[in-house]
Amino acid sequence: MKKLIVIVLTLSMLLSLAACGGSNTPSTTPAPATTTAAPAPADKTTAAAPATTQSGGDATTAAPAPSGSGSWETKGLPAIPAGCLSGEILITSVGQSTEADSVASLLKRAKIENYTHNNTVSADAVTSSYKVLIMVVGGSSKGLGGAGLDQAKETERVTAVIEKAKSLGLTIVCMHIGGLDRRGTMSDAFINLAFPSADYAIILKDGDNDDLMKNILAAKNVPTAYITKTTESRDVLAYMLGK
Amino acid sequence: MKKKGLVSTCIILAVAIFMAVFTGISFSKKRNFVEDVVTAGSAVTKTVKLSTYNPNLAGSFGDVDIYVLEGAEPGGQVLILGGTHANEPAGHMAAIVMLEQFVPTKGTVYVIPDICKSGLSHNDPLEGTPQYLHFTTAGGETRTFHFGSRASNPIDQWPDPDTYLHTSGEWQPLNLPANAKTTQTLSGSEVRNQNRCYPGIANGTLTEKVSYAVTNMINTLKIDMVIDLHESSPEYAVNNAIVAHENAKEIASMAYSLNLEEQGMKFKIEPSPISLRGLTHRELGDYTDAFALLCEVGNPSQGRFRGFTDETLAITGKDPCYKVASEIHDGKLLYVDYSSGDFPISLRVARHVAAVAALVEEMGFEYPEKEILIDNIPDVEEMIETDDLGLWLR
Repeated sequence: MKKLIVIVLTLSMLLSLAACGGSNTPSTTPAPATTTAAPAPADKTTAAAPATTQSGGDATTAAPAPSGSGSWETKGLPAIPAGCLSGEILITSVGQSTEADSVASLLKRAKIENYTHNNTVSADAVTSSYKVLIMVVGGSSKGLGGAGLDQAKETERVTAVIEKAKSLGLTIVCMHIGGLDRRGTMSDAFINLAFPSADYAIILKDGDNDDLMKNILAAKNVPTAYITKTTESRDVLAYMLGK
Repeated sequence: MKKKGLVSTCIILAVAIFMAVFTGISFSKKRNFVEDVVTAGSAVTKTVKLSTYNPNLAGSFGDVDIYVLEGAEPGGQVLILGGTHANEPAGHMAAIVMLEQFVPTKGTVYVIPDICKSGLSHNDPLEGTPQYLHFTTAGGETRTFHFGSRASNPIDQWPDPDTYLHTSGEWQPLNLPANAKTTQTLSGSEVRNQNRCYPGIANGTLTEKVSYAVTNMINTLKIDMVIDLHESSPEYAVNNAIVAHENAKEIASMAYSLNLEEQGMKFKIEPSPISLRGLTHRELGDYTDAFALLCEVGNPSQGRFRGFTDETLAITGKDPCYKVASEIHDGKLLYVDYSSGDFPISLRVARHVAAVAALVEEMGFEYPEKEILIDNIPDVEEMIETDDLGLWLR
């Protein structure tokens, strides 16, 4: 009996070592008959290809001028008024995801130049020369590590920045434009940290399916714009700046 | 009793020899299988050996071909790396689709679809993954490609150290962030991970030699952008993402906001961590002047939740276990939308094609002197709709 067990175990060990056998059977995907309408990539893709065949200055890449209409969805919160922001803007990240970089780049493309972008700005650098603080919220462990921070240090930094901004009377705009990808334990902690201080909010709609941000903003009836694409954040900001 | 023991010993020995010969033949076939990359009729103007940029590679298993697609008009230069991790087939296949389909009219596209050829030549033990993938072209021909391992083949470099000490060798940093370390200790097996061995060592292990050649190629040719194509487990946080070195963050974020998002494609833009050394998006940004980027897309056939693993799973991405995973814990176990119950390779390759096209276009917009114009880019929407990657192979 013992020997039988030994033989079975030995065989199963050998079989497990050989467990990476491959299938030599061709894919079950049927070969399209040459007479069917199966696409011949070389013939038809040029016309349908994305705009990389265009010169660099095409409309899509060049970022069309902001076209804010003020009609963004609000989910029952007040709408953001036109021209509610003025003066020098400070943009920072809350959680070190890349969305703050996106906002800065979008403003640059829209030729809105009255901003300073510093993802790790300290409270000391928040001065009365700024009139607006834009906090772009989204947690990224890679981003925190890259900035030499962790969640605790980032929380400490942001808390101090918010306190300083409030003491100086800066208008605070909170943004969350990373969508569902920027939700989860860490990002939610940063949302709970930043959004209670918001005077205005811009949110990519699919990131607030559970109304976490809406419920925070509703407590202070904060004017809010729900957008459906990140590029609309540029339009909302331009609208707020009266541009 | 003694005779019975002898008989059972002989039986076991015979079975062991049979299994060793049987698997040995299979492994040998895989090791020597050569993929048929089709350059006839493509825009490939020449091929160059990787050993041009590290003579220590000459004649070795890592001395792969660099496919060069030159436009008529001078412009920017981009290097596309596929097959860094050979168990991530969409990266490998996307590079092959690009080299067979792209037609640059301005600038130069370099494609290395099998940068870790050693990894393509074997499978990860005990993973039960297929050895090959098969696709049927529009002309009805079956083409066969490797499905390999995450790491180089131990046959090329063995044994692994207990601890892998990553260093930057003789390279001098060009763009190293302040306070960044240039060395790192990793588990020993990572010495065979192509994407932990950059910027590479000229006379190091095979994996390090290959990395060195890539770094040297970029510096020698002054390549403007390098894009490394990968896949990741659906439960891995960095998924359906573009990871960007600091020097490429604006390109990545604008390529997404102004192009990919407009096409309805969700991508996360992630920063390259300065503390994680050896990766393309980190080291090639620090040790060359190229914009260094890495694209990730979800691949159920390499995740831990997967069920039975075979060629069909690698191609269709259809897995009942992942479907369950997507439906429990409010869907928070996964970082890809798996509600459809599949994630086919046609979609995964299409995402890579779309990302490369958008990144190259964005570079040309921000830096007109680096503009690259490409014709015949496969239509991404059509790739997804037809769900048949073979149609996009020559």
